[in-house]
Amino acid sequence: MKYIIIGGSAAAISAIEAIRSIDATSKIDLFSDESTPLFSRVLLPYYVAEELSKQLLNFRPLTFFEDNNVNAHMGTRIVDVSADSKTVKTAEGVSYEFDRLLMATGGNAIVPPIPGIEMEGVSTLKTMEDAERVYSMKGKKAVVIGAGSIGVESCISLKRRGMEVTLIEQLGRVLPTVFDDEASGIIQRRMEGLGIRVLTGERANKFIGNGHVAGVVADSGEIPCDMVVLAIGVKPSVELATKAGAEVGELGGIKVDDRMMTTTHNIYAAGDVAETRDIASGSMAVNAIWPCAMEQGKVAGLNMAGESTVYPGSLRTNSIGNFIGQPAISIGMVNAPVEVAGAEAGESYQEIKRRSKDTYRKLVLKGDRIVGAILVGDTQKAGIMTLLIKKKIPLGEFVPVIMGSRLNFMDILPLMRRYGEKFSELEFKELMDTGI
Amino acid sequence: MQIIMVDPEKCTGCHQCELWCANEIASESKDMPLSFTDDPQPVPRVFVEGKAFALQCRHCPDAPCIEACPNGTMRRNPETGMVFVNEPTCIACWMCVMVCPFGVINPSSTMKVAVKCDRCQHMGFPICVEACPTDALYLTERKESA
Repeated sequence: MKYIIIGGSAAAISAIEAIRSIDATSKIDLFSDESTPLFSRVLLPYYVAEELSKQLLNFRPLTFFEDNNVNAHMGTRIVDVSADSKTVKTAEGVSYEFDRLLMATGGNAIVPPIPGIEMEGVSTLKTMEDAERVYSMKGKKAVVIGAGSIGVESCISLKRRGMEVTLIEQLGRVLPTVFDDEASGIIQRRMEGLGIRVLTGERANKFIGNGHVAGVVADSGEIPCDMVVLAIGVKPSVELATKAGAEVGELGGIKVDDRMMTTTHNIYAAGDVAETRDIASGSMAVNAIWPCAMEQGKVAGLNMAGESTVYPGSLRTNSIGNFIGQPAISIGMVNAPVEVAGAEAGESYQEIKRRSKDTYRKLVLKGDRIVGAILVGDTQKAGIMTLLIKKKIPLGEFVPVIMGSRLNFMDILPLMRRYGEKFSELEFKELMDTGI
Repeated sequence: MQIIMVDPEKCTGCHQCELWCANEIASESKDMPLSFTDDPQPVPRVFVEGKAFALQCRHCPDAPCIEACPNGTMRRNPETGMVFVNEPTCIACWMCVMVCPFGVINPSSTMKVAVKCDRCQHMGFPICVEACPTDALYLTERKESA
């Protein structure tokens, strides 16, 4: 059996671990267009902030490929995939055969067609090359465009390095796809408290400067700066999938079945590039989140190695850690949809909120089950929410318990017993394996 | 692999396990009751929940915290099978807190690292089991699934 993996981040590494847990001997070749192996993209803002050295960005030891008997071709771009001949071809023109192929190609940072964007001092923050570029920019005034996780964390990183920072976000709040108005408001105020200027509901229309960027023209006026970080978002890199004949979904990710196989036999996809069913909303989504990539890589790897495993769907989870001095966690669908046209008859949405001076807790319920949660400040036991959302456990009379600040595992044990059939045998055993 | 179990008939909710865990593992002075005044206050890794049930990290064979950790800080000791936090590389992102179904991972008092039971890895025998006055906490071999 010959395995080929295109990509070298979370999904790829997780797939290798899964394959090797079953198949210790077959050949695995990995191709990554990045030359730096095994670094965590999630941590690039920490590198820029000078808080983590390059070695501490690694999420597996550097001996990982050797330990797992993997032929890793770093800095090698795959330019073509043929499903008929079951081969991949590198940029150097070398062909490799496969029996099973995993496309873990992730996403490309979006570079919008803004005039002046090619100037020096403007960079995305996706690859290690980007991170090194931003790290060595000798700017004093930075503008960050896009207030997603990377944008917000970049702002804080650059501020920590002593720069003047302005954040521009097109939508009406920071972290618009992660939090709701209230939680985003708390986070924005924290950022402003750190001295970051936040402009929401504004677009960057033009970059001005003479070769090197000197300012950004936003809706409200010109912002002088000497460096710009573009953190607008990522788009799944599906070029190779298309070449292999694999279908791309409506949201732009590679379509996969519940065993992570694409529409082309023996070709799998996992991670930021894949389109999967979101457990909370029930619709298709590209949930480009680290734990999703790890889980999808594992399921893909197991299936590739012959152990049939079903992927239960992805759940979007985000955590703003110690970065802004206050923890904030978001799980699933955190805003009840405005249009409920897709809801089944009789299903209604409920939002339950609890706000105190330093904390905020919100549950979004669809019918009787939680589909989303936000916890700001008091994030302990958030994993219990994740469990209830993932397994779609109806809450019944347990709503006040879940909202309470003394929520603990024991409290929901009766609920889990009641709905034991929603867990696999192994999962249930593990959950109950405490002495009860 | 050995896991810690609780006999709910014997647990009285006395919190001795919590106190000794905090004292032996988390505190600097390790001198009860002086350790209670340590600043920051030591955080135990075992929790007495509900009326009477002591719960700590289950060292899951299929650990969601290891999967969620973005930089390999949460790792498994290959010899003992225990899951532990490699504190020097922990960046306090709380992804582990977010996925633990038992809710037994918590931010440290200084919010700088994630803390959870590491089965007293430097001590040889779990202190909570040793300290329990009613023998409600006990070690047993994990039953491997079929």
